[in-house]
Amino acid sequence: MYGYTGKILRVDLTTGTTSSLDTAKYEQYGGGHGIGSAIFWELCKDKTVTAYDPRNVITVMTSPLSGTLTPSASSRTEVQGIGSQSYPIEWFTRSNFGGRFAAMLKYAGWDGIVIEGKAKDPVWLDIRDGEIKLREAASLWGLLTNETQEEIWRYVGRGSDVTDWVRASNARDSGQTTQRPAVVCIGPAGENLSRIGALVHDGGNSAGQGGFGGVFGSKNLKAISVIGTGSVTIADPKALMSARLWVQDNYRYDVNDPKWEPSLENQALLTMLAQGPGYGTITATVEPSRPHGCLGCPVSCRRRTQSGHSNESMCVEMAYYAAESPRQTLRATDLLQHYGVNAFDMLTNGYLRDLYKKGVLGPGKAIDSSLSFEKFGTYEFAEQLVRAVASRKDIGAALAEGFLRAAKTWGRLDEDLATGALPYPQWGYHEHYDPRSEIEWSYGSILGERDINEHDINWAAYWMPTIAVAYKLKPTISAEELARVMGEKLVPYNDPMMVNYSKDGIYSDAKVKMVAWHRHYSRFWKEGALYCDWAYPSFVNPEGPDNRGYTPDAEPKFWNAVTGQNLTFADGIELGRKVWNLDRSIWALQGRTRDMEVFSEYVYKVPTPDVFAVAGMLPMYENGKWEYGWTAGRVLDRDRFEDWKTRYYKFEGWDPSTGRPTRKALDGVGLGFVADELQRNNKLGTE
Amino acid sequence: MADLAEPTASLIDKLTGEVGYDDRLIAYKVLGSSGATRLSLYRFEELVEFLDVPDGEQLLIRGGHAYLPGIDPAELQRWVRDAIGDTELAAALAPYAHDGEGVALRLRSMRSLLRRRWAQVLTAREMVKTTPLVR
Repeated sequence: MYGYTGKILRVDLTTGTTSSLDTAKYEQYGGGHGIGSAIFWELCKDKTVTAYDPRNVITVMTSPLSGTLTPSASSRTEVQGIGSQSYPIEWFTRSNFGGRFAAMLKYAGWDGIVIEGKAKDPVWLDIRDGEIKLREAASLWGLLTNETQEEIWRYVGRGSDVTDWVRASNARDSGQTTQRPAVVCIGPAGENLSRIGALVHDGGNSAGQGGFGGVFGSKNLKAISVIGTGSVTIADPKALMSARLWVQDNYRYDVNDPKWEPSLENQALLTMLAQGPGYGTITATVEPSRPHGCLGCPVSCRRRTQSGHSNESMCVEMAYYAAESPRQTLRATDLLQHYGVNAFDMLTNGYLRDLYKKGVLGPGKAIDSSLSFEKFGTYEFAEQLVRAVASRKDIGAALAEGFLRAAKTWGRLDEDLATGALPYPQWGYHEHYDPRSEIEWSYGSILGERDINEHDINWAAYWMPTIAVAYKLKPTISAEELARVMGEKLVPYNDPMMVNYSKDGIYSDAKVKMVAWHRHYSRFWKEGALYCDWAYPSFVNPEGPDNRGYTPDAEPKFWNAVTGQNLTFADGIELGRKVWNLDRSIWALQGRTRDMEVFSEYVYKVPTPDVFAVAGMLPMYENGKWEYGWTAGRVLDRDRFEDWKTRYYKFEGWDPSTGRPTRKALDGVGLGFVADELQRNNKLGTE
Repeated sequence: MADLAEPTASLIDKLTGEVGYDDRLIAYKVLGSSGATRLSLYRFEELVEFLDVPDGEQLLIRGGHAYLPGIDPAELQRWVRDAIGDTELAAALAPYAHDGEGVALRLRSMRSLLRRRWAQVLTAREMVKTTPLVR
């Protein structure tokens, strides 16, 4: 298949040896995630091992589109393996980061990396095209992620400064490049086996969710550096360029001939929501900055600042803490990146302050801590807290296990999950969007293994109408039109009722199809082909023809131009179904049963707050017409959700009593050998 | 918009103090990337800072930190009246506390009043620094 280089690097840290796998063997799984799951299935013989067991196998995968000019798909990296973050079981899981690592790996001639075993002493992996070395990392251990990367850049560049060319190897005909190596590494948090340790690449690209920072730490792997001087062979370069221009001409804001000229305020709001080009500078910072994007991405949702603080950060790490000034908040953002701490779990820091104010936490209290909570809201406190977590000092010893496990250690877990004081609806992950309202998100998460973190439907169905109502603006399109557009684009089901978020709609058969579509779409197009979540799928676009986005046309158009295949959008959904079944089978072997797939108590008992943007405006079909409706006051009905689960399992061909895949379902997607393994372990679903 | 009388010394103490756990104000920082994050506000100044309702200008200034403040306007007004004890400000906030125009626009109006009160506090504190006998 075009787009891939043909080989995957296999590294055994225990023996210090490297070898390669043929990518072609795994191409039936499509791309990044599917191949990662297939390799994990094959190489991790005992799927019940813990995250920090040397037998855990980690894959770091690219896609055929990585390193190409496919917009917003050129440099996402998919990381998989047994993660340490989830609760109560360390599920086989995934994480992902942007930047330029995936493209550089392809340019070096590798489609991915498989990491096995555990090094005796700290090491880092040095990849320069085909030259692979495991190097000792004693001098890097303990360094922050920015320091680690700078040290490796200097080493690979042989002491040259960043303006010098880097030679990939000493061979006479080897390439040279002006690029610096792409490095992904861990900070002190990962070294100290924190379950909320992150992988960090460049300034602000992190794979935080999943706990892979701690997994790298457990393997004594400080960093992977890659520099490549090759290129990616494209099946049809002209078609690829034409497709890119097709997006530019039809779906991007044209400064010379704008279709939509809102006020600055509306433009800023919409750009903030719809990630228009230059988003990074439209939502600029307190100091001069310029736009920055992942390699090959025209959106440039990030920025680089004059001071360098918060460079490339644009996600949750920007929101976890408000310091005494915007500039200090930028510095607080950097703390997470430098120490390599998962930003999403750190959102819960306000919970700690509540415990302090309740008199439960503090010097000599039930939860003893000498952190200066009276300075909460200052940079100084943020530094104390992040350092404590990264070094496992003070309450950081408990928090390094993640906030949920810390609450358990402190004897607070049941109470705080029941009230929602600890807003963790499933699997030890912080709430993202309201689990009682935006249910394609929560249902997808509980059926999977982590917070799905997919903003696609969220932008069109939740944010656009919610913002419009809050600001007395006319929604980009009406609820009826949105349903029509989504119905057109949700191939192959094409049912507008899939986006019905009414009180009955969230338990409907149409919602079964919606959640299935979302899981299958993500497993292939988003996590396999590695189209960025912030740009795909695209349902609504005020710059597009008739307010329509480029899904389902764009996804196969780029894929086929790069690979030379003739994949349809629906083919991609089927590939996603296959990978979803493979992941589901791994979870079955890990012990997943239906009765585990229940939310925390507050989701069933505590109503969605009657607060703007917490409850949202979502499309609802009631009394024979579509309208945007308010979701405040909702709780999830336990019985109706259980009934919905039964219908979902049946739709997937899984055993409704256990939720496990059946032989028929697995045979249907070419995974008969997986069914055999489930049967050997008494984990195969009954038909 | 209503005028606000200069705050008394005792009111300034309330406006610069910190309420207890039971009197905290629940709010949500709502950001596209992270969704709604619940937090508790314990000081009046925190509310002023929190209520940074973005508009075009604010997005340009606050950048990636720009978030939508998820807060119930009625609850906000009650908190100012009962927990902080600023009845005059609470009365000025009352017209915006209940149903009306878009909630973000109402919060923006409330923000103006809160900022005005906080500016009075800062001015008074500065005067205290330079002429202690004012109190």
